[in-house]
Amino acid sequence: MAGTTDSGFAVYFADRVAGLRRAAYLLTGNWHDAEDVVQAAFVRLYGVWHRVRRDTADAYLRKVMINVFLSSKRGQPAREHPVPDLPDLPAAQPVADDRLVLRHALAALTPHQRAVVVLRYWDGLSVAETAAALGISQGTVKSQLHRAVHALRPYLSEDRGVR
Amino acid sequence: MPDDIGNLDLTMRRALTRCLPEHEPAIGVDLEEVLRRGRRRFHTRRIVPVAAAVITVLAIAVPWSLHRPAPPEPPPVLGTGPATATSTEPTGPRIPAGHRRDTDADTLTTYAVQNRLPAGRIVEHFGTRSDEFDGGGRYGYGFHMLWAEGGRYGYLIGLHRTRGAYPATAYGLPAEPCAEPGTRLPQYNCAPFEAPAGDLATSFELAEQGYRMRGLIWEKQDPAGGAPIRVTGIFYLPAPGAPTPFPALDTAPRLESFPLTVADIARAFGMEI
Repeated sequence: MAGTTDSGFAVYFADRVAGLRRAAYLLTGNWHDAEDVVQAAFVRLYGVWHRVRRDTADAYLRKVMINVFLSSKRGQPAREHPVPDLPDLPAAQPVADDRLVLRHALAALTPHQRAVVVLRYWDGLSVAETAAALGISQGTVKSQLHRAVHALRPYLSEDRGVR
Repeated sequence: MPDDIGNLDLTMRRALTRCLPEHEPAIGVDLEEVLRRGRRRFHTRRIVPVAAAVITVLAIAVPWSLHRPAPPEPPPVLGTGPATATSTEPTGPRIPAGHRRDTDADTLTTYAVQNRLPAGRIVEHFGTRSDEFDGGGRYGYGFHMLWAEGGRYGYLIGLHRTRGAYPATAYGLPAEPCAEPGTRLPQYNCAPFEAPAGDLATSFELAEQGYRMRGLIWEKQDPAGGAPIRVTGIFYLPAPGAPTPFPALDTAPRLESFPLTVADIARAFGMEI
């Protein structure tokens, strides 16, 4: 019985882990924290695997991942700020890669704004689904999205010519 | 800019895609570990209510003074000091003279170096910076990582400074293992390593007198026209007792094989290959 459960879970894990890790990277900004969040989400899913319907497993997993991420950020002041590249000179250098600039801008959003952006635009959820996943109102989702998009907008164009 | 963003959903999706690094490290989330932790969590959740009820009954039935629990043991500290529990020595990293711990280098170690590595087991890391500018008008930076797997340890180090400044010997590493064809030490197994922009890079690997190293020296041209840069990346398995910045390495057993290839090390320290 456990073997069947495990093999079913293993197939699901193999199918979802890479995609979930990318979403977690967008939330956390680095692969190590992303993998911690993903692992915690799968551990919790496995604990209830026998009673989760397969058609709702994705939503459950996503919700757990977001909760783990937000819990890890709660009450934790931002201590680390991503920096663009290995330093060649001690003086401040102009950032040379628009991908890194964009990554900085994303990292500068609040954890809740990042969660809303990732759910809405990366996972492709509707505003209502995003609100349900986060346990907040649709109005809050919209206002968070508005602020996040406003903050990211200067960096959204792919031909900003900063390379 | 803002007005020419037509389809916001698509634009945002593309923007998020661009936020992902071009090189994705191998997935380090292990299914077996998930299953093991999941089972433990599942069983703990079933047991806890029963245990809580038993404890409640006992607390009511038995005078508390007879069952006062002993104070809990302090949790063990991993990899921050010698194994002796009574040691009062400082447990932070040991930094060579002329260098200091540096928050920029710390951050770079976290984001720029670790993110380029295959998912691994870095249990401690820190960054250093030289106190003074070197002859090339830049600081010498160091990125230091303690790697642990299965109770065994190794030390991954990256140095970034003007060529010739702040030699790697400050960290117990060879300064010039492969500098010139005529001075290469045969036992270092130096070999050319393909580097971008026509830079000269040499990989080396040695195993002697109880210690082992695998790494590369990259003579990097400064794109801004400054003095040539030397990037050194080495995975180091020191001999027992050899000094390293990490006190945990003083007594811990070494890894039995290198967990990273030369290409992994090169990529970790900024070489686009």
